[in-house]
Amino acid sequence: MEHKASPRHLLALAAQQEGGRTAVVASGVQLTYRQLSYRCASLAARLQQIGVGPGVQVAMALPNSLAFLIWYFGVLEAGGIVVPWPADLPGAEIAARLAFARIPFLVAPEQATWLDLKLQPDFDAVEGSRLWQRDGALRGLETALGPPVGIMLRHHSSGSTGRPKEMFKTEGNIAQECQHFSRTLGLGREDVFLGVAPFCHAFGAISFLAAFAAGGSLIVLPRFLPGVVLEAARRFSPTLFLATPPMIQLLGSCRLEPGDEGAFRALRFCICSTGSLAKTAHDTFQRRFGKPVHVQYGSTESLSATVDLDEDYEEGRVGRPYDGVEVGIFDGAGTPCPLGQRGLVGIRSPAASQAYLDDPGSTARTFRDGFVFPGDAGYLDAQGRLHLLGRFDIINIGGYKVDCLEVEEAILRALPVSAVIVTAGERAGLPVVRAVLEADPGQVTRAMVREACRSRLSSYKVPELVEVLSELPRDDKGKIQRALI
Amino acid sequence: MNENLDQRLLELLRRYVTDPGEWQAVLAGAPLLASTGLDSLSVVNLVTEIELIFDVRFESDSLERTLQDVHSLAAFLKVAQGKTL
Repeated sequence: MEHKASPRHLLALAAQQEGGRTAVVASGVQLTYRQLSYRCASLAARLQQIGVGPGVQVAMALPNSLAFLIWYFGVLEAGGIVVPWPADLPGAEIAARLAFARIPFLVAPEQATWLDLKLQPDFDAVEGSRLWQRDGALRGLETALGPPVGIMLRHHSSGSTGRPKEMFKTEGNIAQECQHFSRTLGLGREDVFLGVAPFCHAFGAISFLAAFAAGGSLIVLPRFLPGVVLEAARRFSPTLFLATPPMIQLLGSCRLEPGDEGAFRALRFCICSTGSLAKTAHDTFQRRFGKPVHVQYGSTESLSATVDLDEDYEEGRVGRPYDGVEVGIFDGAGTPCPLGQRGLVGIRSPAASQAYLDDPGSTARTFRDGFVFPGDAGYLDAQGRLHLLGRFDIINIGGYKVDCLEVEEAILRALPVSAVIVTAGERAGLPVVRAVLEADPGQVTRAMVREACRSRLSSYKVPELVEVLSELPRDDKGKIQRALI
Repeated sequence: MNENLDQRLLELLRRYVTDPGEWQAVLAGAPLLASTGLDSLSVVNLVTEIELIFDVRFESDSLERTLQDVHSLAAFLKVAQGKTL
């Protein structure tokens, strides 16, 4: 089955139709659709009393949890706009984002005493989380963003199209995402979703949106640990698992306990996205658990665009477009390329955003002629399947995209550095961010660089490897020779 | 914890904590996660490696407590290994 209601009222409708069925299991708590919907509706009523309604933004910095779901749908039911952020966002970054986006409310863990915010006195804790209010903040969408009709989410891109940007998602965008994902995979009320990819990201959000749209059950895991995932899989027999490439790789190589090989016996689809999945990682997972991994392609801007449901895994191939999504390949002049010819990937989808917030330059580059251009090169084969050829300006750290320029700018602004180059490095066999600086080693240390980045950037963007050189290699014109770094 | 276990654990941790200053702090009992700034992926990889090498399984609910510092981690391994013997 597939609910046709606005995602804003997804749970209310599901409660009418699936009331007594299990909606969610999280940290030992199990709620039916009726129970979950009641808790969200109760919260929505209280939120409305303090002014949360159309156009009012409520940021959330929570891990995957029951609290996340209750606040998410509570805010939506109240008519507000959810602004989901990573749970480990540094306090300074949270403060900066709240002020920049003029967001009046923040939901954070109860123990987040570092926040320079006022606790909302009318609200008790919800599953260990509290509502905070920015001091002096007006209640409302205080920007000239136009009428907030239909706006449901404010998403922060991790930078797959360059530097991090923000965009709105409408009810129509999310409804389309639920529909084409559910329809293509044939999801229904018997499906059990393993929710371990971060809910704050567009890909992870599919777990709960598609689960509730299909009337299925959602198993919530607050973090990815291979052993914990396997235990949950053995206990709940998930049929759908949304994973990132590092998750697949680690599940293929982790320690097993008796019975773990059969943990995914009920799995219908393991969908992997947010980065390139090596064939060795795919094959190891398949050999171990007897299930293939299907790669999905998309971005925060476009949401899910293609999925490869074929059985013969090929690295770089990301499959055919979802129902209602169109994928084209374009040359440098914007002319469509024939099948087999390499060019820039463009995505046209009812789930796609139309623009970035307050960034007309990036908007003009990324959103053209009704298509989203995530910046990837690729081609379409004779069967209409998309193949990706990669990009060079973004480092992928466990599925999180790190824009080198953003890290370089953070260092340049914070420290007396004449030049900095950020590249991909390796530590303990893992990809990490590496920064090579031109500065006085007596004045700038590795610890200073890391501390400067920690206070300005998400943890996965902080360089693990830092080298401070008195001079970077340059050619005779003074240009830095990146190839030698 | 026996000497062999100690050494293996330290060798493993050393691969993740590459900064000499941070490593000295870890050895002195500084908080393992807060003082090294290991990102979430590194923590998952570290846990996965520890599970493989020491034949134990971590629990999500107690992960922060277990990884509080090198001593709490060693104590966890001692107890967990005792259970599997």
